[in-house]
Amino acid sequence: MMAIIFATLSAALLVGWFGRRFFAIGLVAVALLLSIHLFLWEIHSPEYGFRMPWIET
Amino acid sequence: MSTTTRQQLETLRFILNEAYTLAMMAVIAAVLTAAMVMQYGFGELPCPLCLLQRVAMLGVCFGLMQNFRHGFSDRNLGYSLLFSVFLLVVAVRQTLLDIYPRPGHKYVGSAVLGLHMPVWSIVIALALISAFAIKLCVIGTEDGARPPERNSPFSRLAMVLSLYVIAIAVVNFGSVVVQCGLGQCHTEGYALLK
Repeated sequence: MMAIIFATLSAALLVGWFGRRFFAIGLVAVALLLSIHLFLWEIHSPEYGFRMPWIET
Repeated sequence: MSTTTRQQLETLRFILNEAYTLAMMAVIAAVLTAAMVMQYGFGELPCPLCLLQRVAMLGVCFGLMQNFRHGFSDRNLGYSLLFSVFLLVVAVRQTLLDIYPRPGHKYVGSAVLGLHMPVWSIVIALALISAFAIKLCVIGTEDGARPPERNSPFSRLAMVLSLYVIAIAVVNFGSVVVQCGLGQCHTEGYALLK
């Protein structure tokens, strides 16, 4: 997944500079959505969900 | 105020805008370069959330670069702000993840001036958001400002810096493929070199 995100973002930067702005914006939007998805997946724990019990007082 | 004076002030505002945007892009490029030096020079492999923070910084650069390629627009500012907020969210969550010492959890990498990478990322994200706010307060809207003339020093500098940022993104893409393959990323070593 991370490789796909970096591939999409690199393509967005390349297309944004050398190609069509419309496609670049589409690619950067896909990169952001994939990044948000991966972020939520990374921080989700089967045990705690999205909670952080180690900082609860 | 005469028309000439008004035009001179407007030109000054556009030049200030270009210099400010270039400076922001240079700072982000320097931060990303430092992260790559830590990775390749000192063997500190980035964690998945660290890689997402690099994605966010490259996303901020995307918005800044679009200004120089297709003309200044508040939409480009919006793209950069979106990625700045994403950087802040990821960095805060990573800081909270390791803020309390417990088995198997500690800040990755070495501290710089006493702060670890995720804490630095919070500082960077807040600095970026503040910089955009200051830009709007002092310089005002950028809508309608044309990109600099092709042969101007700003244009050349913007092109060099933009190509450098693109190179950083491509190198990071290759690095991620070697580190993570197509699966989950780990900091123990490069997956494809084992």
